[in-house]
Amino acid sequence: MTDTAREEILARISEALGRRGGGEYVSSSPRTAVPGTGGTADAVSGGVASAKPAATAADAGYHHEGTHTGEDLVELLIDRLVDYKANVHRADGDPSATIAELIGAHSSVVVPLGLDSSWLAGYSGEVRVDAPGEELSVDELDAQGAVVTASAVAIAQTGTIVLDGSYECGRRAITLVPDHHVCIVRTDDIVDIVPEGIARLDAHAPLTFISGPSATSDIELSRVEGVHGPRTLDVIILNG
Amino acid sequence: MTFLGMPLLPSKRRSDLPGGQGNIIEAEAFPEVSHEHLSNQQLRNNIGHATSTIRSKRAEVVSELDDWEALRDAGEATKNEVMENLPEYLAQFEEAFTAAGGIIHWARDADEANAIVTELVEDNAPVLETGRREVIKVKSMATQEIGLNEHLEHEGIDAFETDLAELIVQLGEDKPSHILVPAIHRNRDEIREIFMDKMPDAGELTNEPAVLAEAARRHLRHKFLTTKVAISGANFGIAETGTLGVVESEGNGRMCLTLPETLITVMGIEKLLPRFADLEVFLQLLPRSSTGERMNPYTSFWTGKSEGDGPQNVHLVLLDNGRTRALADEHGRTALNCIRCSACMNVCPVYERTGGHAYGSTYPGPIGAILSPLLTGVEEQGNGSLPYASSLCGACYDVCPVKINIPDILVHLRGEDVKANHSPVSSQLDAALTGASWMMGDGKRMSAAEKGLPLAHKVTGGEQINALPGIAGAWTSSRDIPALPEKSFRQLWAEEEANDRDEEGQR
Amino acid sequence: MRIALFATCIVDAMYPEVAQATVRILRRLGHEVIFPEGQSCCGQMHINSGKFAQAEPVIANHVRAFTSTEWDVAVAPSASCVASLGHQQPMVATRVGNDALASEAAEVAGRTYELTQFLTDVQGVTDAAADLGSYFPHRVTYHPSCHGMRLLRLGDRQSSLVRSVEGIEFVELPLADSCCGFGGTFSVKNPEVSSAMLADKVRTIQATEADICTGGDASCLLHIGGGISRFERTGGFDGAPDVTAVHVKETSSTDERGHATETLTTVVGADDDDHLTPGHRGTSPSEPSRTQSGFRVGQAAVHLARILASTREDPLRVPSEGAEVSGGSLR
Repeated sequence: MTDTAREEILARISEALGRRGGGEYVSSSPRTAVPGTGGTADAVSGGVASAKPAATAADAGYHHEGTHTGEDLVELLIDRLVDYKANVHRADGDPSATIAELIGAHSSVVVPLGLDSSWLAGYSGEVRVDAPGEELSVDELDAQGAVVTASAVAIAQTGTIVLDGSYECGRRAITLVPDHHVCIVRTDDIVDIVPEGIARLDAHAPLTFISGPSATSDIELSRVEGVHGPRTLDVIILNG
Repeated sequence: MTFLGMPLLPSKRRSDLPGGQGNIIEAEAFPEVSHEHLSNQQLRNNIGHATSTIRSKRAEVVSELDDWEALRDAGEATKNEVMENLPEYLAQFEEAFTAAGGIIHWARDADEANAIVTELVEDNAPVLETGRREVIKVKSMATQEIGLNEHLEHEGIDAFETDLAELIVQLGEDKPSHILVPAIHRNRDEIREIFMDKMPDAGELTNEPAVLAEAARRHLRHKFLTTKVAISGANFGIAETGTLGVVESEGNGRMCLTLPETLITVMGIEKLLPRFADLEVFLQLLPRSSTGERMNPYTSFWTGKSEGDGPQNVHLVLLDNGRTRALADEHGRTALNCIRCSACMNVCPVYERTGGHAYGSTYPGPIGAILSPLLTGVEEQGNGSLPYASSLCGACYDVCPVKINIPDILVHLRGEDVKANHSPVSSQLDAALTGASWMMGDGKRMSAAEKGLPLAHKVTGGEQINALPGIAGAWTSSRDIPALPEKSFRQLWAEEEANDRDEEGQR
Repeated sequence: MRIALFATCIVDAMYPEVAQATVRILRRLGHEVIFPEGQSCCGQMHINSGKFAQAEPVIANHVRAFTSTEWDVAVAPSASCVASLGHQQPMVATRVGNDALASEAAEVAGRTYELTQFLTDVQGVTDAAADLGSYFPHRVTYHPSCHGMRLLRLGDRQSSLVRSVEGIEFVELPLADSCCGFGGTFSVKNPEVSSAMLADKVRTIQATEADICTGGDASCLLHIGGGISRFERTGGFDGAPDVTAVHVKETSSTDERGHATETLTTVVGADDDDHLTPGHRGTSPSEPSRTQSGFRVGQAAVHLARILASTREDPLRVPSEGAEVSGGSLR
């Protein structure tokens, strides 16, 4: 049944586009992105859109790079994180004292396998390590006071932190179920604008973009922080 | 001279492709349906408050980007590229999604999609002590459109909406009236009452949004942690990589996409983007246009299944349900470029006064006034009346992040409605316009008609006109009409010319 | 310059004074004005009603009327009709299969200007008092038409010219960019929604306490004036439920130099701290026409061409000076 549906829908599309009989649309197959390049400019400059005068995304005149660098960039990120109600801290080299202070009240926290264990050195509670084959159950995660992870990229302009499922970031559930997320952002991983952030990511990884703690605007379109995701987001910006 | 991208090819009628079904049909004509909503002061207050809030938020975050117009251009171009190459991009997407361990199902219409989802739920969700199955849902326009929850209920499956606004709608046994904020027609006091009434474990609540959000958290927490099957929509499907994305705020999306064993996503075939890199445009356009935020709190992307992370049984239902019919309309097909941000309804003066229910469809407001009749055809019940539910003020086009020329498509669909549903004399207005076409088709006839002005002026006693019969009574129901001038400008001009000639002659 | 006046059907038949004022302004700048007699209408009424086939003869008539006469530019006192020429006429002609008409219509449209577009962009007029001798010592608010704002992108051309009139007291109209609800046949096809929009527009105009509401489109002004008149006569509209989203709050008015002069009224919606409760109208006045401090009898709508044409020697009078108001429009 489904196969029939597939063929029929594709046939309808061809008919809708006038490819049967009429054939108004001159169209070539979209060029597949070259594996490993992230498939951006090359993939769009030829082929599909060449018959049209309109620019494709990569040709268009929007910014692909931001203008902030160095401390300005960090300050922008902090400003935007704070604006969306994340708590921001800074650490130089060793974040362990800051982390200990933030999670000190919890009796148990979860961390992903790849997190630098020295970062938890100042914490005296129980540290549960979530690792492949030794994943914490959902109930166990629910019992953790906090989760501590690193991050893949941070986008300053929008105050966005991206987790990519790496050993440092952990699988998605560990940063979701605990009510308190402590996230370390290295200054090297901060970019200015969204296009720079997207360019650093691998589409095939499970990606989570986080901009502030969980929030809703569903009641009278007024923003309220704290619904189902972690209600407290502490970001530690780590030089280096 | 402005010339705003109206497609110039003459309209060709392709053999009619099947229209969509489900919650996309206005039962009666818009003027009738909107009548009851117009007199609801509470609704007007709630919507006026919410839309004015979101308008200013949107304006503020859009003004932060000096390349906003370039981003809109890129968004438009990218979606046009998708539509023109839809078969190729769908095939590319299918290959990549399947290679990553996902399973794709194709659904020609609402019934077929509902049947597919039902079967998947029956295969993967256990029967509980109640004798029924349960699924959790993250807000999805596509599943609203096909009436999935109602269908599942008949099949012994309870679908729990987890988005706060959808929860409000579901608990209130109500219908969504906005695509971003389905409960926009409810204020905090009404929401409090619904929660107190329908959440037995909620206890005493105040009307503070934070308190209400906390109640929703407690209400749903156990469901999130225990339910085996989740159903979602998708904001984007990336053809290049087979990646799906959901943009949300509360974390209910992350819960549904991450914790259950089985994930079933229902997505319209038009939701594709060619490349992962295109997200650099759409992740700027969508949040700023939608919630007026620089970025929404959470966005999730997944590509098939990820080992050890999230659902290991991942399905996608690709839905037509009239989309191919809309695509066949070359003057209307850009409506499919819609990314469901809701900016158009937030600025629409008609929506602001009637609310979303008046449109009879999952898709209300300006985009709904074009999308619903495009999906079904203007012949379908009241859908032919939707394109007239606009003063053509153009505010929607100005804010659309992918530059859908909604006013032009409204006018185009009025033309389709005239062709399908009207004769020259099928109403007083039609007859009057037919007469006006004859008169205005020649300046001499217009001039002759205006020669009646002195008489008309006399008959009306040179007084303003406060009431007229018939169709003109629709005007005088709330507007007076100035006294007719004794002479038209044309007559005055001719007299002046004649005087000038006389003066010339006398000299 | 030899300028062809496109009066537009509504001005020709309902507001001849507006065309006369337009002619006076153009002549004041030293131009020769002609009136192509074959003209009738731009066709927008039919186009926006979806009647493309019936619009074709109307478009053809416009093209015929204007191409049969020698002129440098055409000028019309209407943003909506000028927008229709460029934006809709060629599109509709193409849609009905008449490509020749489409290109002719585009050619005529390419040389046709809305009045303030012509004054500002072609003539470089920035100061109506100095360049046109415009004089109108009254309190005026201004409604920008949707098609002027969003199709012709007139920006502040109209409001700047009006502000620069000698003696004028310009009051910002709250929520000025909201549609008045006219929309051509929209006003009779969806009369209740249209009336609801008009009611809020009239409420904001009332709140400005201006003598005059001006604008650049006679059609919107016919609608607004008709609403003002009805409101003043009866305190409401039979055709629209007494429901409003307009909440009276503070905004400021400005003098001709843009300086704030006093504080006034009105904004839509409510603030976070005064959300509205069920069964309660909150800050929304149930009978705004009678309870608002800004309620004012004797307001009228008038096209900005007549304000620009008004001079010290031959001033346009207002209702308080005994001018005739009919259906809310200044005669």
